[in-house]
Amino acid sequence: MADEEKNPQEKAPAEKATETKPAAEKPKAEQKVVAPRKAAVSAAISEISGDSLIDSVKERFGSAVVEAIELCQQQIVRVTKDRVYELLGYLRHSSTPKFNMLTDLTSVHLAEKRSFEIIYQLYALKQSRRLRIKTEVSEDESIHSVVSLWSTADWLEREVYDLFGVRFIDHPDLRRILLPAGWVGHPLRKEYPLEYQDNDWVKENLKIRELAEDADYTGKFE
Amino acid sequence: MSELAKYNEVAEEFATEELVLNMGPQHPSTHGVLRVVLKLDGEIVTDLDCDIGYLHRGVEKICEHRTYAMIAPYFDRTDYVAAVSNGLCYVETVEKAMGIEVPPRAQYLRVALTELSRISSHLLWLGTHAMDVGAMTIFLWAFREREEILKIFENFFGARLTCHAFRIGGMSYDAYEGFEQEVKQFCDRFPTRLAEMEQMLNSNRIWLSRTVGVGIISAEDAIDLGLTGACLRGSGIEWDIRKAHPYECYSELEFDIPYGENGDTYDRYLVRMEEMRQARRIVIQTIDKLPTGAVTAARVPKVLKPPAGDYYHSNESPKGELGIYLVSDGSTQPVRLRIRPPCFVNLQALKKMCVGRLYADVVAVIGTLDIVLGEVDR
Repeated sequence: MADEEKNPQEKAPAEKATETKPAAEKPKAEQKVVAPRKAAVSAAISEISGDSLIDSVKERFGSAVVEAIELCQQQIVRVTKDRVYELLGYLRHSSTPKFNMLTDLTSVHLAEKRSFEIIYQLYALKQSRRLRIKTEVSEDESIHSVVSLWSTADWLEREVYDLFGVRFIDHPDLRRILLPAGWVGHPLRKEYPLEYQDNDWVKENLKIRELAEDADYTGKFE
Repeated sequence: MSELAKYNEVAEEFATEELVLNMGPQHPSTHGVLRVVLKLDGEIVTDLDCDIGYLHRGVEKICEHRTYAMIAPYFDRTDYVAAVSNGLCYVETVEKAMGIEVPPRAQYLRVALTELSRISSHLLWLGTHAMDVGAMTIFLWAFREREEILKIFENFFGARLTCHAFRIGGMSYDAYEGFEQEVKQFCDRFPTRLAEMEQMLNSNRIWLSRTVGVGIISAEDAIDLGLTGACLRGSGIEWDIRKAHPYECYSELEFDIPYGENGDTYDRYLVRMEEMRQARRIVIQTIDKLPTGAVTAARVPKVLKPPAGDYYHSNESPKGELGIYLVSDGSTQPVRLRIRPPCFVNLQALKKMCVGRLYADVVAVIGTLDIVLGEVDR
């Protein structure tokens, strides 16, 4: 069973090793690999229909709702950027159920589209219901802050600004939170390297003495 | 010169002004490397600002460059006080994305270990919180009890702090011989030890004056600030992910959710104490009901490739709602892996709880929020 799941590259030597086996068995095993995966991908996503909340959102916001899908029992609504604040305000104050809790606010950098996806994980405490709102902002645009709707958003938006560089309009105190104030760049962008040191910053702030090229690394300093 | 004019002259000379006080990052009661910049008017806090990030290691960035199996150990190092429940949340997220069913024995073992880790995390909180407000005895007693759990962990995982035995699809190995007896022994002794600790605190006048009415947060504010875990339940909201969205085998187990009334430090203390009792109750049930059979799912692919899509999964870590948001493109590495840290969100409430209160209360409030900076900064 383990052999079935291996990468195609890894499979080649395994087949060589079992050359004595009858050749008729091989295509059977390959068929098994492909079938369940494809089914899993296609079965997971479906349009939401017959849900009163999603229907009311669709009715109110019309073409602003790009899609409303269900994946792995999670409801996901994708909306256009210009009406997302209005939609979130509706979900916070006047929809049934009211989503009184913002569990999480985060972002994903879509490097090839040069944009960010902003994700709001909403939660209705009484009804124990989750809803995910997604919207897309291009790299040079900014988005309206939701601190006025949920106070949680304050630090969460600061973190997104810090790590992605997304600007939030009307945020009360938009500055870096995890990285130091003078840092250059936003680490969770795809173009930011995994291993990297800002030499100028380290030199200025950490006051680490630079070692000369012919320095003695035996640990014996003056 | 009249008396009053004299007085005014002197008063002007000794005029008071706002004091900016730097607390941390090496302050013992900030539980790690938290820096708080306080503005004080006498002894009253008028404003405060948290400076975090001293422990930022870029875990989320690292995860984007690792395969799914390689990511798991990083989670033991975010909230290093409750490594077991953090590891559980990650493997559950990938299992949810890939639709893997975990065999019952593995589920029960996972829950038993997670609840033991909840007790150990709460004991560490109790010890340090009590010591911060001046009760040294509790610190030693709590660490003595915690040691017993850590011994079980050491036997099970081979590590005391960065415990890691959960694999995607189950457990990497079964329980060692004598695990059940050791856990039972601990559970038998624990209630009397907990009662002793409560006896030291519940009617202790110093403890009461340092905690009752301190760091009050109303239910509305707690929800608005997104507080979870004991911080939310202390404000009188009976909400626990183990009941609201049961994972593993929690729906088959009996336990109650304790909740407070006033939303002050004392109520959160009572909630956490009761949570330890309930955790013990769950552990006993899992050991009694422990099914036999395999501990790994039969069909777990060697190369893990969750189908393209995004998945959010959360569980009730000792600190609150620990969520993981996973974006997969169907390859062997995630596009984005976001950790929703309960401590980060809970710490945000510090300002709300402290402004307008005494400076000494800040220490008590940091203790009651039960933060771990490894998770705040990631």
